[in-house]
Parts: sequence; C-alpha cells; structure tokens
Amino acid sequence: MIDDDVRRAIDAWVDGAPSADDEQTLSRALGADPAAIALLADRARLHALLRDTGGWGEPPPAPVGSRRVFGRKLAWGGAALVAGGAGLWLTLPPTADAGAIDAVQRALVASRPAGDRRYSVSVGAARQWRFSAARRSAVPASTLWVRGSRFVQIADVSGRPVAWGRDGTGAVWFAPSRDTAALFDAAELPEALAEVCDLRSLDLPTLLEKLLADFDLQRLDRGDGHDLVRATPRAGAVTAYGRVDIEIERESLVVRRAVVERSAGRWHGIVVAFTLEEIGVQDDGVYEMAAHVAAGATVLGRDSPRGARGELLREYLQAVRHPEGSR
Amino acid sequence: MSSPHEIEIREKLTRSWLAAEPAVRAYVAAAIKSTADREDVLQQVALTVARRFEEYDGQRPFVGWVLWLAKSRIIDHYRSSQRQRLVLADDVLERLAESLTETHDDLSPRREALDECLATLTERSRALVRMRYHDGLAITSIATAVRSTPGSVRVALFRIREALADCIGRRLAAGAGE
Repeated sequence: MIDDDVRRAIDAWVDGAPSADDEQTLSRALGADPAAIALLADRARLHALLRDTGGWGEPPPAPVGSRRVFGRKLAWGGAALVAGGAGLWLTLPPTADAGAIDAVQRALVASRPAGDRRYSVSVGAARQWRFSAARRSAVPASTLWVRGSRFVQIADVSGRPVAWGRDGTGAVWFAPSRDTAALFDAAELPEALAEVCDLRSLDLPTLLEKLLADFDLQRLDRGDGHDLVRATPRAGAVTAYGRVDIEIERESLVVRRAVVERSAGRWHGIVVAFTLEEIGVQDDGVYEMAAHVAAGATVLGRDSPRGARGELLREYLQAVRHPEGSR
Repeated sequence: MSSPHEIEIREKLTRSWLAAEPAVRAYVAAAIKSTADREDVLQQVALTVARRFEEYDGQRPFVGWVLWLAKSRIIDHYRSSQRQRLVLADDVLERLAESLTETHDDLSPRREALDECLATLTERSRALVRMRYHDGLAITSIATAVRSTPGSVRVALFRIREALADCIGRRLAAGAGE
C-alpha cells in the first residue's frame, strides 16, 4: 500500500506542479519502493492519455452536407502513413532538422486530397469578447472555394456579390464590384497579405507549415474519424492570431473545419470559422478574376497609378468588413 | 524523388512513432517536472528517432528502443539545465522505462477504458479535467473559471485522477477476466 503523501507527490509531479516537499517525498519513495515507480508510470500514462483522449462527451460534428467526393480515396496504408506523418511532424522543431521535417512533409503533400472544396465562412466573437466591439461587427457570411493554393471567396453584400481570390499563377485579385478590380502579381504581394492567402487555402500541409514557426501544435484524437490540430501561440511570438483549431478528416486529410482567433488590431477577439460544406468539381475559371467582373471592367494592375490599388483594396475591405483582410 | 525503399522506411517510421508516442510522452512526463521542458525533450526524442531509425533492430520492441533513446535525452536535459537536479536516479529511469514497455500493449483497451470512465464522472469533475487537459488551462485559470481556489482545484483534480485510475484498473481487470 502506497502512502497517501507519496500518491499526492506523484500526482503533483506528473501534473507539473510539485512543491519542494513533494519532490523530496517522491525522490525518497522512488528509491525505496518499486511500487512507487510502478505508480509513477501508471499516473504518467494516465496523464498522457488524458491529453489525447477524445472522450469528452462533445456532440459529434455535423455531417458534411451534399458531399460529392471525387478523386482518389486514400488506402488504409496511405492514411496510416499520413496520420503518422502528421503526428511526427508536429513533434519536430521547425529549424532543428529540415531533412526529417521535409521527409514527412513530402509524404503529406503526396497525399494531398484532390478536388475543389467549398467552405462556409462565418465571423463571430470569441467567447470572452462576446460583449465587446468584436460582437458588434457585422461581417457577412461568405463562401470559399479552394483547390491547392487557389481560392475564391464570395460574400453577398447588400445583394451584390463581392469577391477576392488567388488564381493558378499565384496572383491575388479583389473585385469590390463587377466594374472594378485590383490585381497583384505573386511577386509583388505584401508578406502579410500572402500569409492571409496561405491560411485561406485551408490546405493542411500549408496551414501546418505556416503555424509551425510561431505556434505550438498539438494533435488530439477527436474520435469519429477526426483529428484536431490545436495551434497555440508560443510565449513571446508576434502573431496576428490567437488559438487556431483545425479539424481534419483522418482518412482523407481534408480540413473539415478551421477556427481562427484573431489577436491583433481592431479585430482582436474575432473568430473566423471555416466549415466544409462540399467537395466537388469547379471549372478552373472560377478562381480567375475574369469570372467575377463584367466585360470591360477597370482592372488596376502593376502599372496603375500609385496608391490606386491600395485604395480599391480599402474599398473592398470596407465592403465586406473582413477581419482576415484588415491586417 | 524518393525511392520505394525510402518511402517504405518513412512509412514504417511514422507508423511506429505514432504507436509509441503515448509511452514516450508518459515517460517524459514521469521524468521531467516542467511541462514546457517536457515538450522540448519530446521533440528531441522524436528528432533522435528520425535520425537513427535505420539503427533500429526490428526484432526488438520499438517502444523499448525509443524509451532507451528517450532516457539519454532526459539525462542530457538535466545535464544542460544545471539548476535542476535529477530527481529520478538512473536506475529509476531504467525501471520506469521497463514498466511502460511492459504495459504498452494494453494501450488500446486502456484508452477505451479511460473514455468509459470519463463518462462516469460528474459533470463538474469532467469539466475540471476537460479544462486541464483539453483546454490546457493552468490551475489558477481553472480556479478563476469555477470560482474556487487553486488549492481546492488541485485537490479535486488529484481525487479525480485517482478515481479514473481505479476505474481504468477495474475495467482492464474485468476485460482480462472475460
């Protein structure tokens, strides 16, 4: 029978908060009693399992509606590799061994799901900010189509569609109306905007790569065929985001839901949620600016007057009041 | 372009690591006090495993090999952080690894038992555990959230973990007797 003080000391140690007395008690007991070592192993195992368990009695995620899956389904072996790859990748520091990370990353990229994915995008206030300015924002819900690094996001603003996206060449465009648009080539994209676009792609390897630099990542088994990757900013990291939760379908590696908390600027306290609605097929053209402006529309490109595109971008943001574009 | 052999090795590595990770995490948690240091050491272990995977003898249990590597990383950690003395002696680390290796095979039933046992907790107890492990809150934050004191939360969590450990033990014993 193990003394209650020893049990408490072991519990405090494993929980990461032992007192000096606990440490002494523990050290003494472990040296004298093999049963204490077995108990320490048992409690440490419990601690590890509690971190990973999905048994919190949460309601299961809503089923994906009207899903038309096409493209390859991953074989079990491939899925196991991918799941394992994600698990290993998340434990590796970003700068310590590029080779090891690269190996796993390539495995992930090779298994990237095919198809165009449609997400609904909603903007709300984080729980602790429900009664703040964040709550009073009225950003309209929008639809996001993604394929690889391409995306197009369309919001309905007072009955008219307002869109922005990234096409197959990496160029980013904004169309605050059918009559005007601004186009930025990939090479002239400001870094902050490029980052917003990368997050917008909702592509798992890209998301994780972006997050690895400033976030601690944790993979949690949600059960029901889903994993949850939780990204929490490292202490001292300068980032525009707070916690990021990415829910992944384990078999296909599709990002089923991503919830991004903003932590900077006027959008502090805002939460943007992307929820997978459909996997389908879209024409390449849907990601092109031309599909979202009228024939003969004014398009401001690299040669436009200085500041003109910035002004149009502000107009766009004003129209949709989109938190992700406001940095 | 990776060769089929490289792909096979990577596949085996990632699968093996995923299976062994809970035991490694438990080992590191048992050996190191600071939760932040635990994550660092876990990453070091993962890195070492990835680098040295080709040395692994497939005839021996993978988890035993990984815990052997982990032990070295833990000792390195204590050596490099000179302010911290090694609370767990070398032979204790050895026996901890043996214990975790021996019981590693029952991980799946243990997981299932934990989920069942969590469901038997009272709503308040489950909320406390959830805040601690799922939400990753510090004891003081939990105390604020539930309008209690850190001391009371610590005691409550200790009792809950004891209850969960008992419950898991009973369920595993019942399962073994079937």
